[in-house]
Amino acid sequence: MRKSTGTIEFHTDQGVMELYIRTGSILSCEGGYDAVSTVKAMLTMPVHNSCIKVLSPEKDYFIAMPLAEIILKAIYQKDINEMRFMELFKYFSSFPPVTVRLVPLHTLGVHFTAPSKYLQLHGQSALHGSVSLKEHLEKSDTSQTTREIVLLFTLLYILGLIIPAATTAINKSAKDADGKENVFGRLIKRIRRI
Amino acid sequence: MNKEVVKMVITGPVNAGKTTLIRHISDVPVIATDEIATDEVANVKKHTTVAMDYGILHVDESLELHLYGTPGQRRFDFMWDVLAVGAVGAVFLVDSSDAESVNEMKYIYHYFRDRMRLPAVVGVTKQDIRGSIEPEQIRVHLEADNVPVICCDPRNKEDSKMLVLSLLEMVVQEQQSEQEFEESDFF
Repeated sequence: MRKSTGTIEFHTDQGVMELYIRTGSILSCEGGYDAVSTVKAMLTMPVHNSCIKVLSPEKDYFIAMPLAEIILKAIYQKDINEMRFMELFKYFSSFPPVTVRLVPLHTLGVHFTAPSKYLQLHGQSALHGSVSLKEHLEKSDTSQTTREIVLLFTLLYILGLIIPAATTAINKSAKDADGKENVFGRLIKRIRRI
Repeated sequence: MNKEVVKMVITGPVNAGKTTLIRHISDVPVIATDEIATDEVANVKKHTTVAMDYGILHVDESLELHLYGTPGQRRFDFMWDVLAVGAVGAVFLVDSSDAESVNEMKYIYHYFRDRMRLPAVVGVTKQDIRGSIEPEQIRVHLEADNVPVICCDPRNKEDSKMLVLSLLEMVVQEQQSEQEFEESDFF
């Protein structure tokens, strides 16, 4: 798993706050617990505007992080402009099949607009092992629904809840040190076949 | 060859769908200890589980999943302790159309949480009934702060599978977190 590190600098009424972050590179579609901690911290801070500057020694991370503005807007359920929306739409359309991790989102203080969509995504991912974000985007019938889905994907992405199927915790933990499939990996496969 | 057994508990108040869920997952006929209901349970169904439901899913020649459904009534709570020993996690089912079931669920949920500390998911059933209680209200009532609360219909096989798979996902995540913590340089 590729890891990147960086600092997000928040400009708020109280001054500048820095958050050290360590998360997966957006180029390899990674996320994880650290991203969750970061967002948790973000939510406790009085940040209501987009004065975000990303400082990172890594170029690929720097490319990714202008999305931070979008992410905060998604979290605060504000709207995004058409250009950004299209960028995100294309971005998520190009994702490989992903698994959608289940966490109680209320613990993050996130009140998102499409809880049933999140649970639907998780359900499909649990039952089939992965889910295609592109299919969900193509299936949405109104532009409003598409926008909601894009915002949801954005939020889930930064929370580290959508992860390429091949690199998920379940798939990793499903193998023992010698590479053999372990108890839970076998159980999960068997239940999916019922 | 010795078989490895993974044990899972399905619990919750009377008439929430526990036996139905186990029937979907088990590949042998479920051993049910049903008796004719004689108390207030008789108002909601004719038979009820008094000791346990027991189902088995054969995974392969060396692994089985054993599913234990607990009786829903509080007077059988001694069975809850017995059935939870060695379990990897618990699926809680609650009938959201019945306020009494939601109240009883709080007792059961806290009983398990305080004594067993198992990874868990809460399945909220009967959301199709008018006037049913919202999952978020149920979560707040249960004080289920770190547990996913999911709408489901155990009569639907895919929903039953999804609940069990979600619980396994929680178990794996928990194991991985513990492993990462042990491997970290925190100390």
